[in-house]
Amino acid sequence: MIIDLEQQALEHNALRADVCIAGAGPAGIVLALELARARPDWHIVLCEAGGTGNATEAERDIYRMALGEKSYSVADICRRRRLGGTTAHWGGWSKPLDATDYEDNPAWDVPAWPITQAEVQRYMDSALAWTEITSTEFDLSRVRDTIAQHLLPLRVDGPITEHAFRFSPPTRFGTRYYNDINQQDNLTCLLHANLTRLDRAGERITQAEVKPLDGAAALITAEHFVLAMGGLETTRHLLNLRGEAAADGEGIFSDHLGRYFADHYGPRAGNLLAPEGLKYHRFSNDGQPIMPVLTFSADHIRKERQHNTCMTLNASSGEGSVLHQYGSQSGLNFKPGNYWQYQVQMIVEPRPNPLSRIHLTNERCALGLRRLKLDWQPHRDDFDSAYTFYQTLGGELSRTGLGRFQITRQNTAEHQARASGACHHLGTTRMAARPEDGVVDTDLKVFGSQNLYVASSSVFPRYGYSNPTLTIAALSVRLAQHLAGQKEAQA
Amino acid sequence: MINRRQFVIGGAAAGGAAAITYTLVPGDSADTVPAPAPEATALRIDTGISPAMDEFLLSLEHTDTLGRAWLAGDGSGIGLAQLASTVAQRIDGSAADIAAATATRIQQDFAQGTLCDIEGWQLSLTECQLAALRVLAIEANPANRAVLAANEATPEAAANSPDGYTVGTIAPLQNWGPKKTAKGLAFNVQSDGHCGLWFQIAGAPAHAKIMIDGEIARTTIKGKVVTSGLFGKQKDHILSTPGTYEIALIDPIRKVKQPIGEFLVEESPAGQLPGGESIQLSDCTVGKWGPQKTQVGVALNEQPDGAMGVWVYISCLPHGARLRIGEDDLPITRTKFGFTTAIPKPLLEAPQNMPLHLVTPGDGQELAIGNLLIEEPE
Ligand SMILES: Cc1cc2nc3c(=O)[nH]c(=O)nc-3n(C[C@H](O)[C@H](O)[C@H](O)COP(=O)(O)OP(=O)(O)OC[C@H]3O[C@@H](n4cnc5c(N)ncnc54)[C@H](O)[C@@H]3O)c2cc1C
Repeated sequence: MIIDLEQQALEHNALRADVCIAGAGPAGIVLALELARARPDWHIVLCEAGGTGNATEAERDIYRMALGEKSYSVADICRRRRLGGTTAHWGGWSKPLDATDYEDNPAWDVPAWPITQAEVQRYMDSALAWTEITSTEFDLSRVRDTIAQHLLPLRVDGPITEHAFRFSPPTRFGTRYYNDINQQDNLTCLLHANLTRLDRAGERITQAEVKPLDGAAALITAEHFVLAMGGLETTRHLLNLRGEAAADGEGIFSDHLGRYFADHYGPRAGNLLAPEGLKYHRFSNDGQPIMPVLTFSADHIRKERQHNTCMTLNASSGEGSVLHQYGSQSGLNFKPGNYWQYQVQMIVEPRPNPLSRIHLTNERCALGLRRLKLDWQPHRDDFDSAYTFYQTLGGELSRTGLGRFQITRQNTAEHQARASGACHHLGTTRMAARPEDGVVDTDLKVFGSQNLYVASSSVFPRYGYSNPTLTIAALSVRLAQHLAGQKEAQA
Repeated sequence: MINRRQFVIGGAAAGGAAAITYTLVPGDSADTVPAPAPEATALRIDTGISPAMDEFLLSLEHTDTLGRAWLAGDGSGIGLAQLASTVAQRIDGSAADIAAATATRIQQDFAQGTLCDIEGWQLSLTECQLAALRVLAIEANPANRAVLAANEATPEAAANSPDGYTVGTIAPLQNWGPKKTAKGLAFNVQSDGHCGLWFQIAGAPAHAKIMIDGEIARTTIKGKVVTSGLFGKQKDHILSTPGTYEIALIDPIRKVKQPIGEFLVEESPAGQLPGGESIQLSDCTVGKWGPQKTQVGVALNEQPDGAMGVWVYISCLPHGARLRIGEDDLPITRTKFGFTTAIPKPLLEAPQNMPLHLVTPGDGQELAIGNLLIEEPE
């Protein structure tokens, strides 16, 4: 059932639920429907701040945040306040994290995932179904033969390898799952239900206050509360919940809360001269979209403690270049064939950086919540590793007669400062095995709390280069199963 | 002593340019009297290293720009003899297979980091020096001047000379476009950055080319549609220089030139664009805008933060107007001709036809600009 609080107030302005989820983006919708279907005996309440259409100016204003020194030019477009959340305009680029993304990088300050790749992988089929991804082969080596003419003949044991992205249609969760939500008897979805307050008694959250911008507040009491309001808003609410208390404890009192903010970004370092017809970009292979990308091999990442950066290529005319029409001469160590120039775009794996963080300011929004300040400080290692990757690939091409590489933009702090984000909000409520290392535990429960959970990419403790939504959906399915089972066990 | 061997090397230029035949006259004798070249297009190279090396250098087409760039930088001031001796130390001129020996040397350069950096390209020192040696050796032989001039008479080069062609009809022209732009304004921007021109010409021979301002432009012929455009330096020059530029169809084999028309680059509209509080969006008319098409994930007209720069001609512009793309309102920058804006790259990730509107948030007025097509390549 869907109730719009702007149209209809709740009886007694109150609801009782087994689980109350705040935020109906992909994280919240997947969690709510999975949970409602797994536990027909439960009542789930899903509170969404927006309606079914675009947010009004006043609603958008709630997201307004201050910025630190580094610009974030996607600030105004990176979130959607409506049913379905930011999938109203996401691009659908999808890929599970790679094996190394789950592993600790000994050169970094904080541990990586406290759960294994296999553990997340168990929920990937469901995540693929939720995101309506029908071509599900992410292991490029299994489909390589069908597109080999568009890929580089790389050394098998070399430092460079390939992976594949796949694509959601892209699923607009708000419209695609509207009927499912509306028809699910044991699920109540409240629209224009902005979470404004969580009441705490000791280690338990007792109730949540939600309200439309102009309207009466309603109180939701529940056994469990899940924050699924996107990486930034979820962290903002936890910081508001901490209030003026010191950041010297666990969970909401952990100094990790709000730190390690990351987004995917990357340098456009230059051009490659390489065999014609390469397709390291999105294209349609027999009607199925695929995007091969170049990366370091897992061995190389582990051995050299590198970041997991990926690279796409787009052909350019090469007109005006000093190497225009160059290549293919065997005497200059080129393999036979025509050579094209390609513009390089990399997506770095951001190193979790404690200095990159979101804080609260003293200004309050219309809901009375303190606003955010985003002080995004990408780690200098990000670009260093990306350039190392580029040079390693370029060196491979040069040595093996597959091409040459050009650096048109140097690895400078200025270049790094200009790069903008991809609207992926990672790391600020990181998952960890121990309270000393993060904000939520392996069940996504906030350390020190008995019933407060987070469903968001903000729990990622290591980020890779893959777009996050597929993994967000997998974690929501996992959380649903956990909550469903946990309640049974308690009973 | 004249010890002359002649090598004829047929080299088909990459990218389908016409084949040029070279004749090599090796030898180190100062008293060599250049014999009349059997072909007008014969270049002669004499490095003194070995005939095989000279032959090899002649085969290194499309390396002259690189060679000149190296000579202008690291190799500045070096002479032919000195460079030849350097190269001879790196590559055994008497090797049975000079090409293979050179390739090995280049591999070693890359393995050892013996590199040269030309405009950011990380190249092997050997290839830079070879390219430069070829340039110096060609320049050193006075006979090559005539050869180079004669090469102008090859179909492609001759087309660059206005006199090389007789005006005639090649195939009937039905229409073409775009016919004009304004100074500094890229038009019909294609994914590789060139400005596309199209021509409907029935029956153009496959080897026909479009000539723009006396230069042959890259040309593709598919049925009745011939496409070409402004590329690289020519694009920069033409777009920045108001005036008219002759466009013609040429047949490089028959040496016939069929005038098509003139491409006009207008001065940017002068003066201030009407704007301000009193202007209503409904009073304004949208003119040209672009880019109108891109590929998924590709920001044409790339801005420093990776966003795609978009320009729109408009007759007036109300205060506070914003560009709405899909559901997002983007800030705009007023210009003399209208406005520009930057579309963040994450908004270009899904294939779709995205409507663009100019909106004035205060009164909710909207003015359609057009659709931005985001395509998925096959
Ligand atoms: C332009 C763009 C392109 C993108 N492309 C891709 C892509 O190709 N691939 C990919 O994987 N990811 C992509 N993303 C990122 C993707 O959209 C997010 O990863 C995903 O939507 C996050 O899901 P979520 O449910 O955690 O948060 P959201 O989708 O942001 O949903 C959060 C929900 O919480 C609600 N909410 C906020 N505050 C409150 C409150 N106080 N009370 C109640 N509800 C609240 C919001 O209204 C919203 O509905 C893109 C993002 C953008 C902006």
